Amino acid sequence: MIAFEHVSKRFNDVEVLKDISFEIREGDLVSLIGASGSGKTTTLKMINRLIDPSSGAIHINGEDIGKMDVIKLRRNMGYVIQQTGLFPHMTIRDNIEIIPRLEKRDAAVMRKKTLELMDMVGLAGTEFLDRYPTELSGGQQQRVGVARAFATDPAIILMDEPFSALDPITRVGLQDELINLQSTFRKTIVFVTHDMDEAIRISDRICIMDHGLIVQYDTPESILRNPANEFVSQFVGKKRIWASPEYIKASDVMSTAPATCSTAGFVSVLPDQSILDVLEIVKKNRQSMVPVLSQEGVLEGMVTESSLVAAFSSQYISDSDGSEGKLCT
Amino acid sequence: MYIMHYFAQNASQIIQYSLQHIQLTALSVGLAILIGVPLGILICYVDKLSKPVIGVSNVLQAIPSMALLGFAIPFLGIGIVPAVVAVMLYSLLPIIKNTYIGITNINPGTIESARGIGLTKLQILRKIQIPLALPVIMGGVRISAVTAVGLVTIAAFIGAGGLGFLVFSGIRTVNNAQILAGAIPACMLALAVDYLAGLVEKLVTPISLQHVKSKSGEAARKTRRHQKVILAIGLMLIAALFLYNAVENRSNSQNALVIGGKDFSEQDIVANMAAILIEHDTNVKVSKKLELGGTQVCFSALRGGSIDLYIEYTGTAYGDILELSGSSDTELVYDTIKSELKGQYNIEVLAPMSFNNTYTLTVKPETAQTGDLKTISDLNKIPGRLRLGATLEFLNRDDGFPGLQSMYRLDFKEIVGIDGSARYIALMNNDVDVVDAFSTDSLIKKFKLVVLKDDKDFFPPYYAVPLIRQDALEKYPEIVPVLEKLGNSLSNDIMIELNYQVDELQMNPEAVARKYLQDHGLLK
Repeated sequence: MIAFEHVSKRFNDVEVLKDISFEIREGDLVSLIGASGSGKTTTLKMINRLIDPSSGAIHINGEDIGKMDVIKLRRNMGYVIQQTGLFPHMTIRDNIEIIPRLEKRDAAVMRKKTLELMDMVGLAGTEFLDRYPTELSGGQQQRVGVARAFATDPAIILMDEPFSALDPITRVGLQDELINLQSTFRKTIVFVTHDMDEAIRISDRICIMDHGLIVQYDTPESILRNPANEFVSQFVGKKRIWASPEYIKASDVMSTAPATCSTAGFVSVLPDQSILDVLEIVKKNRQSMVPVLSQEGVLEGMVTESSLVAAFSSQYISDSDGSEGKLCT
Repeated sequence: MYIMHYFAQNASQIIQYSLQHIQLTALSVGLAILIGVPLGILICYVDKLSKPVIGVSNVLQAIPSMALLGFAIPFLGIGIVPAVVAVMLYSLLPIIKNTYIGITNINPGTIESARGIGLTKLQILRKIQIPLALPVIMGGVRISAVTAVGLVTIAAFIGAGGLGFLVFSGIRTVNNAQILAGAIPACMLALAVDYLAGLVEKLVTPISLQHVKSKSGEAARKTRRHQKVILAIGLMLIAALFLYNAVENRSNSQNALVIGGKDFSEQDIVANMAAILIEHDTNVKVSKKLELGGTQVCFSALRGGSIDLYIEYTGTAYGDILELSGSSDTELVYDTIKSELKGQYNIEVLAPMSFNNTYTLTVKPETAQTGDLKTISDLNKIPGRLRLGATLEFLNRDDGFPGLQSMYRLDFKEIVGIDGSARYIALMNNDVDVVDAFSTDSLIKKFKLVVLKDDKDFFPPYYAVPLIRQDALEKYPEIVPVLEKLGNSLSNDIMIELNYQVDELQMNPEAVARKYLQDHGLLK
């Protein structure tokens, strides 16, 4: 667990972090997101003490990192940045093994581990290990960067916009792999990005920052559904939720106008079920409407063709009347 | 053809000087690397120092090399040490600058990444910064090394040897073959140094950062192997040179009387005669450091103990070393310098030799005729029309031009400082009309110049006289009669003849000296 306690940072009278406190749970992938100058990268670099706080403290598992040996602290943390993070004059093998070698780990064990790491990030070890970073594509370099971060098997991995310089297709591919890796290894990952789509895809929690303050720290779903304020909803984008339909619930799109028909013979859904389930039912059972029943079986509303059209149209037509506007707040 | 002939005849000498040249270059550049690279690294970390350090090395670079060498003599003496120090100082700037640029230009992301994954400062320097900056640093070393080859040529001026020796003596005696014998190997050396340094530069550039990428990995590795072999051979040759020289120096320099000499033929001849005769008549070992430059260089060397003995001229010691104003009284001058040099510097003045190499002014016969010039006073018949070309030493010493000027009130149209025999060429080309000359100078004979009589007896007597350090005299008292015997056998006419043999007939000074001694029965 990483805990920020009243952390502030000033660079020459400019306060870039203003008394922030939050916790990152073990095994979570947390994205720090915000515009440039929001303090997200500063926050990340404080965790491996590339930047020290002006005041406040950071604890990892209860220990104040300000009192830990900084080299030891960093070697027990993975650190991935854009392509520049690989050392251009070293082969891929040298890049991955640099810290294990400095720590004088056993050579045979190290070789085996390196091959495993290459495997893990989906690169053929025999083909790539003796090449230089410039001989690899951007995506391949970034995979090597991830492999290097795992080389010392750290509990915490810091990633500073690792995928931002890649083309969209490669980026999505790497995001998927990161999700896979994370489901296998359950590292504590702190991930800085300025890309909301990326944050929503990969994060357990998202920490939205603005001008040195944390504006909202929550799960992707809560942020999409309940933006803390106008800034967040602006930042997230009003229609963003439509890019993540799994977060749209039946209760969001149902019509609550008094319904008089019987629900017998219809397959129903719970209010919290996603719109994808609703669509599945419609497709499978050729129902014209889907009743939304509470756990207790009480009818709460009805998803009908017209309610769906009304909900979808709010994606493209501004919600001037506000009648179906609850998705768009 | 004449040049080829000269090369063939003097091959061993040329090789010897080339080897010296390589040594001096390697030593200077090596030291410059040892000092420059750490300094360059230091100023990357201590930003406040970067401006002063680079500023000072810029200034050093801007000092004329002759001035720096001359300035070094009082502190470091003559020979290899000051030469190496001076060349090293000149080599510093490109090395410091490139080290600084090489390190500061590394992508900051790379350095931050290295910090972030837990490398210490020293590890970052060793594993990241130096390897990445090395190609740029080597680029600086390459510039320094090539420049140093050229600068070492100047070092012959203070007796460090090297190919500059051939160039300087060639210029002095207007011997083009000799100039080329120094210049051509120096050029080839510069090319070779550039090539070797270029190889190093390529070798230290990681394969991934090299610009040419057409080659396959295997071919690139093969080329690298070849480059490494060539480089290893080059380095081994240099190492062998140092070893050879160390051994030779040991056998050479032990317990020897060191005879110095200024940079003109007469000095070469007389110093060689002294050396040959001393070794012949006594058991004293002699080593020679000739062609040291002017009076200041030789006298500083004598005071500093770099040399034990050299032949000075009475008037020079009186006016130049003791800074007394000119006197034409031979006895007074000799007595004064004998007691003063002993008192002030603990240097013994031996008996004067029987030739007087005083200053004169000379003109071309045509000039003498049209202006009806016979004496120096006659120059005032045509004021403001003639141009004087004189050595820098003549122009600067009280018993030279300044004193002459105040006595004769001469009026020249222009005064040009030209060193060595170049002024005779200027005279022949009508670039100047009057030049200073020495009364034993063979070139007077060669160019059939008219000597203007010193009608007011301005120039002091310039009898050749051996100056010797007191400690050397106590150690080798047996050389005194030998030098007296030599001095008594010489005369102005003999010196003009011997100078003529060296300057015009291109004979080797040592051979001329030996032949004279043999012909006059001084060697048995």
